[in-house]
Amino acid sequence: MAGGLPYLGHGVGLRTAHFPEIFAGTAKVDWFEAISENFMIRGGRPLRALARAREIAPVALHGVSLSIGSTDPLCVRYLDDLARLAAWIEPAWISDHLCWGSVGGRYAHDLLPLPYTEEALAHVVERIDRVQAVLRRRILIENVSSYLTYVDSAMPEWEFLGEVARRSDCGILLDVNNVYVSAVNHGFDPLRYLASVPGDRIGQIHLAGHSDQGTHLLDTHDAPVCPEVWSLYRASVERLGRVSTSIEWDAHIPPWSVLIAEVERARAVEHEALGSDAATA
Amino acid sequence: MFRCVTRAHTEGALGLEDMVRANAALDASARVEIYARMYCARLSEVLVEDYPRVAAVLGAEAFAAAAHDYIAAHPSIHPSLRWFGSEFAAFLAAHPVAGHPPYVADLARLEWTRLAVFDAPDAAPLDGAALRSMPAGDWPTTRFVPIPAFEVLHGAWPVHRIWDGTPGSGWEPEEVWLRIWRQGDRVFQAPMDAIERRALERVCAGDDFGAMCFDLAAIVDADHVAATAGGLVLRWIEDGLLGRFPRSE
Ligand SMILES: [Fe+2]
Repeated sequence: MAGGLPYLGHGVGLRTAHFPEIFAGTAKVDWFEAISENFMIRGGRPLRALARAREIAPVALHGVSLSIGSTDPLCVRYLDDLARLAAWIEPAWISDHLCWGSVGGRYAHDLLPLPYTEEALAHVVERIDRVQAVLRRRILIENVSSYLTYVDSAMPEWEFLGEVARRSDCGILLDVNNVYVSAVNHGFDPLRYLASVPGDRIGQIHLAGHSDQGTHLLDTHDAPVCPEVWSLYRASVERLGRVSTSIEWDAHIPPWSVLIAEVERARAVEHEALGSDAATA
Repeated sequence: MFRCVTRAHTEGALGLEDMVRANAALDASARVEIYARMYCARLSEVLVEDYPRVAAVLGAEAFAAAAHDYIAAHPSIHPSLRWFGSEFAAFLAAHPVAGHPPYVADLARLEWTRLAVFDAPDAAPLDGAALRSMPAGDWPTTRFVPIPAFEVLHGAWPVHRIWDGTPGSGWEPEEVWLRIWRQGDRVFQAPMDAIERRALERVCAGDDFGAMCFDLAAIVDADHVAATAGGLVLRWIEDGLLGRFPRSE
């Protein structure tokens, strides 16, 4: 596993809908994943909920606006805010996405795919170096769901992602649902993706639901994990051994008990894949 | 090439289709269109979340139109969506639309102010007991300080009642001064009369209690100034609006 990151077990994204369970202390789970930007505020209930969650279990910070692939300068204020948040909450790790989301100082608040070229690779690696220097830690970079690819791309995404991780010495957050969504949208074999990403770099796995738009799959995080993604998860665990895993559910958020049922299912899949001898890799 | 791709993407679909691969399921422009649609949907959603009362007052269609115009006029310039809606009230005020209620910009200002109070820095409120144990002679030189999660809103419509109650077309203009603050996790709002407004203004300006009373004497009968001012302070303490005294004094 990447860079000696701890194995935390099976966690969930920390969402406002479940703050009551957090405050009541009934939100029992191995770990929480908090969206960094949601907590770059100065006070009030959200920060109290995050502090409470941190008392219950470890917390990882997951960003959506680092915009690592953008040609805009890295946002210094954003990195400062992130560093301050990290100093306070002492996350197990910090992650963000392999994408770009801003141009000319304007934010799309989206995870836009990059062209997979040597030029883009050098650009991303150089920026991850700087982010890791500011945060004084290795970060995890996540593969995104995408709906387009570029004519100029010179290598498949898995190769690009692996090369980013190797050259910048960062870890990988493997989103198995995103692999599946992109595989369907672009017509590649998701198992090939899983087999090609450098396993020793993978520090975390994401699971989520998506929706079928007929012509393409959309990464909506509004549904249970689908059967195909469960079997990809199983294949991932068979290859990688235990990897800290979290469920992302961001729209039509279900009651805590339903979310936890997904977590338990992920745990069961891991057990099935590894048998009782779970401590491989 | 890389720069070209990134520029073209947000500037609309300018030539981007040539850079994007098509397949049997979707051509290049349909693929770009997926992102364009999500961009508008996501930002509209943020505005609905930040301005639920304005959305209710305008109705889905009119709100969507206002959101669409705002998104075009005010691209997001902050990494966090928390700040995307910051200019929405000003935008509504500057671009009145026939059919919008006349108070809609004021209502938006109230909602934005409530958000500011909601996630303002935490601070321990002043405890009434601390005040009761204070020697009477200390009152005149005591400086009260509002907590950070406190704002004053001045408007031309009774938006606190519109916010509270059933929106309708029967509202008349009415100058209001609202104090908006957070107690625990909850955000409260209350209209202020001229005396309370003036007293709170003095507090915010850093006046001590004596100076505040002196100022209030301009509009309150001299015999009642101290009692009036004291009553206001006690009310603010009960509401959790005043912060603990700095330690050193
Ligand atoms: Fe993800």
